[in-house]
Amino acid sequence: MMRVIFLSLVAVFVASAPVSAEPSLALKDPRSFGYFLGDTLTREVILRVDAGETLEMASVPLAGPVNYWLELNDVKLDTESSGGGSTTYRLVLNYQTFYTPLDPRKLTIPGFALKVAGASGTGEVTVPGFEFISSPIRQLFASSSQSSGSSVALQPDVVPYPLTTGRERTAMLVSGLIALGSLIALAWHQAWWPFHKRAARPFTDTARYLRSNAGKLQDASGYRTALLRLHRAFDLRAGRRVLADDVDGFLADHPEFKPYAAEVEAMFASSRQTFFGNNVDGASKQLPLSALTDLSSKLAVAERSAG
Amino acid sequence: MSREGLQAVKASEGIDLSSWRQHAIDFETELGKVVIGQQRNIHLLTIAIFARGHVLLEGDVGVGKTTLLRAASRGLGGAYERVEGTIDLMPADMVYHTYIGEDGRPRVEPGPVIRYGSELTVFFFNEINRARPQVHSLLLRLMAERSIAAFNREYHFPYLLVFADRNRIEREETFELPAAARDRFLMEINISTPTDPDVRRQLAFDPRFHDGDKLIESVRESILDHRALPQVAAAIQESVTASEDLQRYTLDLWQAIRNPAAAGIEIPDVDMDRLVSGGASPRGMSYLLRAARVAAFLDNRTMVVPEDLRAVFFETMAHRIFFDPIYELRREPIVRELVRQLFERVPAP
Repeated sequence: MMRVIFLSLVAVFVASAPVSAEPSLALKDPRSFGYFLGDTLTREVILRVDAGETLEMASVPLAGPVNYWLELNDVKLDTESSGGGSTTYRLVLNYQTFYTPLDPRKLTIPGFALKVAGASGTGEVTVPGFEFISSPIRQLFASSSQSSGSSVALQPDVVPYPLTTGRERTAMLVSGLIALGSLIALAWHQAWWPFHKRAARPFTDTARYLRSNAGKLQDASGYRTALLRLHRAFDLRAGRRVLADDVDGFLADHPEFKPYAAEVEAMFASSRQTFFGNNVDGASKQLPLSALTDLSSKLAVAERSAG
Repeated sequence: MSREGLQAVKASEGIDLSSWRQHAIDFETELGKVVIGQQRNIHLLTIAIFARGHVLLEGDVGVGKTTLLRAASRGLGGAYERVEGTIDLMPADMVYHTYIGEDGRPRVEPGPVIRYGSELTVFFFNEINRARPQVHSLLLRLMAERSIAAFNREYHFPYLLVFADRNRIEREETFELPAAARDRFLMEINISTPTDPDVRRQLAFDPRFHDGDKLIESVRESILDHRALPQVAAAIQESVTASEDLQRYTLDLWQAIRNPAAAGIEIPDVDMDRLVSGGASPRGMSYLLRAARVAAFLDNRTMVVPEDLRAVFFETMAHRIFFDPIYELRREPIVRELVRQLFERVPAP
């Protein structure tokens, strides 16, 4: 085998030796016999060009079917500069044969031409074809003893080797639990179902109610409902009924709402007008429903930030 | 509404309420100079005067009950009479003055209550719990109807306010006021020693407070015109409105006081289903609203708000709530807690 390669290398060098200006071509071919259906062959083409010359990439074969039985699976090209300005191209071609011979048969991988561009013009270097002998896998007519069930018959696929996934499974379980816990914590924080009834988030609850029922609350009775909702939220937050005179005490006990003191006082003043002054219209002009909704959202945020 | 009341409403047109509010503030300020550290009680007394209600003060000995009432009487102007409650005081002693004349014949002349006729403005009953129940009965009509029968005729007292005080220290030789008499007082105000150390220091060391008579004399006389007060009171009740929501809130309070367990009120060591055996009469509720309207008026509002009810509730209602006998003995802390929780539980509005 080694001798065959050596001889072919020598042949190429001998053939190209006299023309020193010509690019030098060396081939490393595999063995030329003992191939079956589906085997791969790797050819290596080493092309050295002088300074000022380059290989035209368009002439390098593309991966893909070469003919009906031969496929070029893979093309790799390495370039390295060597001394004296010359360049060495290393082209690795990976073929696969799909030919099904009935008896040992000589097949040929077709040759191709590489184009080298230089100062004087474009020259061609021909890579010769490669001949090899492909053999059938079994004899043409199987004997009765070798029929179905025997080792020659088509075998079932190998059972895939199970991958060890213990670590991944543990990691998935842990992260899943963390995600679930975070979801529950978020639901608690935002007072989503099933925590929507918990007393510690009365403003969040109210803000949600006012936002989702904005359409229903446009008339005078809706305005009253909105105010009542807010009153009940204040009551729940304080743990007792909060009247207008108690607002200062409430804000002192719950400093997180202090930034909205003016708006809270306006809301209580408007509530007085609505419930005890019989002046819903005046109150809702002074502090419209949208302002109540805004206030409830702000208080909800303050409530959540306070923990 | 009585005939008197109707007349008062008719006469109330053309009354300048804002100047009367100023008078009321002056009255409070003037009393505040004499009785220090009692701003809230002075305010309540002012409310009672403008609501035409009788007031019972109670508390320790020497905390200024009598001084406060004497000062208020002076500020109010009009005729003033004072009776000391003693165990041998009889109803007739209040109405008639009997004595042997210089000629040796027995004489009967008008007593403290009717001496000034209809001009009587303040009838001050000191130590009321030392008087006998007969005397209390006489007071029932005097307070409720502002009239009395004597010398075979009726005496009317359109400007009358009854101020009474009692101390809660002794129980010997005293008579508990009947529920009917207590119900006729608009307010029962508890006077306690001021807690502010600065006020205490002044009371102990400032010579101004050592001579009671001189102190009372320093109060400006007749800041409020007692003759106009009935009309002003009627005008206040007319001008201050109670909205439907407030009415509902008041009824909720009433319901909760009659049935505290249902309202979610809980007092440690008290069976809430048994606690309240009666009281919180309709008269009490109407008094409550009368006082709340005046509180709103003094706060420069034309509508009653829950804060007004809360400001006067304890003084106007606490003495009208009757407990199961087992809880009467520790009445004071229980009723305070009951009223406190009442306003914490009943939703407003």
